[in-house]
Amino acid sequence: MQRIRFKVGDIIEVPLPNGKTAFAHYLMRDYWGDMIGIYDYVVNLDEEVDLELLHNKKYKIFPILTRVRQGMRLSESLARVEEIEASGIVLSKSFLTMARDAKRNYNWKVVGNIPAENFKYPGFIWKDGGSHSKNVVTRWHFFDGKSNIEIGKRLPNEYKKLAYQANFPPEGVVERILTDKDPDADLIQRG
Amino acid sequence: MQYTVYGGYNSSGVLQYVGQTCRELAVRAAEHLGSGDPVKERLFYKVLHNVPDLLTARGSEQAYINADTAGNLVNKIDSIASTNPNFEQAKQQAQLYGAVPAASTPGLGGMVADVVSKLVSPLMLFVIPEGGFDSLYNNSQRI
Repeated sequence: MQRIRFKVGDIIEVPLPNGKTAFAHYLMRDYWGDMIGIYDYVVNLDEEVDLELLHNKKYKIFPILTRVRQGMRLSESLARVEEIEASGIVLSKSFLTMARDAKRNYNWKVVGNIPAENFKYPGFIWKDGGSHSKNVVTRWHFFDGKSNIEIGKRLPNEYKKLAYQANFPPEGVVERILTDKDPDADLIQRG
Repeated sequence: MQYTVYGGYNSSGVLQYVGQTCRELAVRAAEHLGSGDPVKERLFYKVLHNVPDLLTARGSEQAYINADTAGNLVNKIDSIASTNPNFEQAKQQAQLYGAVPAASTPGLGGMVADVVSKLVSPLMLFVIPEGGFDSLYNNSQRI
C-alpha cells in the first residue's frame, strides 16, 4: 500500500457528493486528531481551481478534528459499504450517497500548501459524559491544547463559541460541509 | 498519569464503542483504523471522562458497557471482569469521579425522586388491595 504523506499547511481537496469540491487546510496534528479548517470556497467539478484565491479566503468551518489519512483512503471504504453496513453501524447519508456514486474518486488529495501562519490554538470544550449527558448536569471542561481545565456545571456564554472536542470521520466532515450544521451545537447551547 | 475514557458515536449519535487510553486519541484512533474493524473506522470519537488512573478508567468503561441494555456497543470484551478482585473498587472509583453514564448518576432531582419513592411505596401497601387492582375489579363484577 502506498504511504500517504501530508504536512502542516497542505491544502486538501475534499470531493462532495453533490458534484462539487471543497478545500480543507491542514493546520496541526492535535491530541484529539488532525485539525483542519474548511475554506469558504467550493467549486463545481468542471470548474477551474484557483488555489491562489485561498490565500485571502476565510474558513467557513474552523476548527474541526478529523482523520486526514482515512480521508485519503475514503474510496476504499466506500467500496466496502455492504460489509460495513452488515456490521450493524448506522452510516451517514453522505457516506451512502458517495458509495452509490462509484464513478467519482472521493479520496482526499493534497493539491497545494499555504503555510499556517498566525495560527493560534483555538481550544475546545467538552462535557463529562459526552452526548449521554445532554439533559443532565455534569461538568464542563476547556482543553487548551495541553491540559483540561474544569469550567463548572454550567457553560459560561463566552465558551459557547468554541468547538466541541470531537474527532470526525471523513464523511462526518463532508456532512458538516454540506449541512453547515454542528452536531454538538445543541449540547453546547444547553450549556 | 491521566486516562481518557472515550466514546465512539455513529452518525445518528448512538454510542457504539467505549474505550480508554492514556495516550493521545489521535494515536488510538489511528490504531482503530488499522485494525480493519469497519465499525470503529466510521465513528465520531468524543471524550467521555478524564480520570487519574487505569483502575478508574476500567471501572468507567465497564459502567458504560453494563449500561448498554440495548446492545448498541460493539465492545467484545469486558473492561474488567466481575470476578476480578478489583472489580468493586474500580466500580466505586468510577462512581466517585462521576465517570459513569449520566443516567446512572441520579443528581439532585434523582435523589429527591428516590426519597419520595421510598416514602410513598410503604403507603401504597395500604392503598393497593391484596391481589392488586385487578382483583378489586373482578370482585365488583361479581357483586
